[in-house]
Amino acid sequence: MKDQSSEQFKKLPAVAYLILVGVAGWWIPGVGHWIIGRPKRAAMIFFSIVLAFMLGIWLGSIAVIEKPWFYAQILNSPMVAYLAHISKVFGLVSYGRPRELGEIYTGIAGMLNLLCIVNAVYLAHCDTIKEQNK
Amino acid sequence: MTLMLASFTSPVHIGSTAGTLLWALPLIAIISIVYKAIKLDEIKPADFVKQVVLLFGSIVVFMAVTAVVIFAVMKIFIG
Repeated sequence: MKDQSSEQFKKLPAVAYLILVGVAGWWIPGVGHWIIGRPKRAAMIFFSIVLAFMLGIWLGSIAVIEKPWFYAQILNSPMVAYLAHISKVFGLVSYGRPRELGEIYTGIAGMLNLLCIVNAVYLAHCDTIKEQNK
Repeated sequence: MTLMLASFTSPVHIGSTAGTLLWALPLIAIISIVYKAIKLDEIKPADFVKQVVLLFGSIVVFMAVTAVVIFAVMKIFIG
């Protein structure tokens, strides 16, 4: 199902449109799909990924946002870098099973968002080609 | 608000029991929902739920079977 609001974004040059879809999907999970006119998918992706990330930082606290998992966690949104900064400033720590679970939840949420970003950019590319062939 | 933010600054208490493996279930459910949300051509509520439940079940069963096989191999070779 396509949304009318997506039509205005399609007026952008093809490359800019693809970059916008990718970057928007990274900043806020699901927004890439919303831009290309798939609001149902966008809502499901947003709520699922945000829930996984929130569960992760609730279980292990924001102290789980640390290297090497940081590279996967940052795929949720650039805002994760700010949470890592707060965690460092306040010297928060997390150990044991809660930390493991927190790292796994937040890391997998980030990787799922990468999957969604790639999918949104691919669908946007397919839509662009269809438009050009009309 | 402060209380809500505070709950994200200290970890919750989770022991090291076998029961903590159940924490895998919400994550498997989320993975199933996201995967099916990007995989299905058309999202119809009934079909979507059916597909998500099927994927969720497949992952859980596969993980359980893998655990049993690893446990059996360990018992055979280590005792």
